[in-house]
Amino acid sequence: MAVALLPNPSFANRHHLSFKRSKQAVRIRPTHSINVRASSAPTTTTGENKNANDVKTALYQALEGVNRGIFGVTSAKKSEIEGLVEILESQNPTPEPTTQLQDKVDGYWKLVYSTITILGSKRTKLGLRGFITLGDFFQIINVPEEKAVNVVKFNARGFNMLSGQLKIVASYKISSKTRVDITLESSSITPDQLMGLFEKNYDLLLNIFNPEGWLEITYVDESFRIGRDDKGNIFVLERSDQTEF
Amino acid sequence: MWSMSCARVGLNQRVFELPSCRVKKRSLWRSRSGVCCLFSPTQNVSVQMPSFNPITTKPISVSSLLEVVADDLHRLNTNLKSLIGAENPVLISAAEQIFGAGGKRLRPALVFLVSRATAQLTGLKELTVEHQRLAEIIEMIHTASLIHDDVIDDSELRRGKQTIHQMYGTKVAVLAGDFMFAQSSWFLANLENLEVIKLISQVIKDFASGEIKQASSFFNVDLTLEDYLLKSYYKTASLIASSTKAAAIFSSSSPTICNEMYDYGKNLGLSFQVVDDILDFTQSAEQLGKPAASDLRKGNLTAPVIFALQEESKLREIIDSEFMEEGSLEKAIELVHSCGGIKKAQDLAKEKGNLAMQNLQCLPQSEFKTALENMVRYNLERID
Repeated sequence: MAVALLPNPSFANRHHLSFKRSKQAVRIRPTHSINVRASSAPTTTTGENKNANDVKTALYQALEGVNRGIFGVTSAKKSEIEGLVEILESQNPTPEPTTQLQDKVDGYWKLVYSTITILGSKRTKLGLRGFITLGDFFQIINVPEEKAVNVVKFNARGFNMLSGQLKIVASYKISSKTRVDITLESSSITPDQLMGLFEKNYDLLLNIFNPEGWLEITYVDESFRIGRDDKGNIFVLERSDQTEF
Repeated sequence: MWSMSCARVGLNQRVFELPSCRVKKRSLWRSRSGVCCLFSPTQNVSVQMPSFNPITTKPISVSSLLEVVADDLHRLNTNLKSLIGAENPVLISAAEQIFGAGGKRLRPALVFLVSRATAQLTGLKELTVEHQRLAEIIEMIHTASLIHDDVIDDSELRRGKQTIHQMYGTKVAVLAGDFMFAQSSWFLANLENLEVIKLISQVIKDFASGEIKQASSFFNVDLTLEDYLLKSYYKTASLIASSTKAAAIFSSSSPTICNEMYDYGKNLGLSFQVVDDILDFTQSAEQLGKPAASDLRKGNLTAPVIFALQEESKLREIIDSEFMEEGSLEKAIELVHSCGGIKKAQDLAKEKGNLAMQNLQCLPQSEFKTALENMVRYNLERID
């Protein structure tokens, strides 16, 4: 799935939020007009405090064709992406995210980039060379129940393009103002016909998508969230909703 | 009847019959032993065949290699074209493309050579209809697999010409391959030899097994040499081994001889495959007619890589990353060379070649046995 999103000045309002919550909207106070950059992603200019929207725009451009990084990126591209991620993190409007989980984190999210990759023999074993194609990766956070559900959507050729999903259910506990500890609860593949496909390599699959450990929320606003885990992974997600899911 | 034509050696190695026609010049004879055909056409003369010591200083060429069975191959070519075109108009125009010049016909040549070499032991005077048909079946199966392989790999060129699916579309290519597999199975059944039927049917299954085994091991850095040899057996050696054994069976050879011929075919086939895999690394793009290291590029790990992986862990990482970084493929090729991967693979090819030579020891001395030995040498010369 290529992130084929066009840079959009009204970025913050992209997604309809289906539930009421007191919004503490990130106020965008442009000091200059927001330019839609048609050229390739701009290099980081030193010292300039880039507007968060600009950085997100640049990030989306950098992510074009990257397919969430799941099949690897060159180290040059990785640096570019992670450079932009760091800029955003330095402008995190929510420095104590775990105190505002209901407001800021609850709901549907969609993965835009992560450092998790499936390459080499793993990729071959999971049939990800044309037989199985990956769809969107979703994350549904349920703050009242302290649960996080990760869903990996996929399609299987030969099963008449049958669609399925891998669902991983985890629970979390707040451990600091920025960090949560995550425990794996359960996982499943639906529908059953597709379970057979992955049976042999189920452990491999779980290993790749295992959320256990801790997660630091290093950036969160109305529509964007960045996290880093104990394995050195980076996760970049955008707000989604049930209709997309 | 080949035994009646000029200057052809009878299958009985001691008696030369020379009808009164011109002795055809045969470079294989003259360059080897220095003995011309000296026999009076009016009487049968038994002569001790000189023992051939085919140490030539120049490299073996395919044409000299196959000259002893040139007539057989010529007949094969004629038959094949008519076999394909006869029933299906759709395939008539493709028939020329499929069986026109280009292929070396090494596999049917091996059938003819083993047929004639083993026939000497059993006193068989001429090539049987079964032998002839066996060779045709083998070439059809081989060609069918190439046509389908080209569809799977989406190749544009084969033997210097456009592939069937390139010229006539995928539909014709798939049908042509299917037709040839089916036709060869039918001919095989009509040979009415159960052992041979089982041997050769197994091959078609082995082709598929080999492709599947290969595809499921892409980028698998833990691939063992055994895995690789098994895959190579399925893809290449199985056909050759089964055909050389079947040729011996049709000569009414003893089980021992038949099994030696099977092993000859298997060892020769494995040696072929290893040499092919080495050349993928060592030849330039122009020589290969396709980008160099195409196997490595798509994650098909062959002998040179497997040996190199035993030495260099950095190579593991590069392959595991599927050559994501710029220049990483080139680095990998370099590592394969520097870790002695190529050298070890060459040793493996020679080892199999030597085993094949040993398998020939049960055969009586003849120009056919010599040609079979030269097959092994010809193959190894490609990596000298």
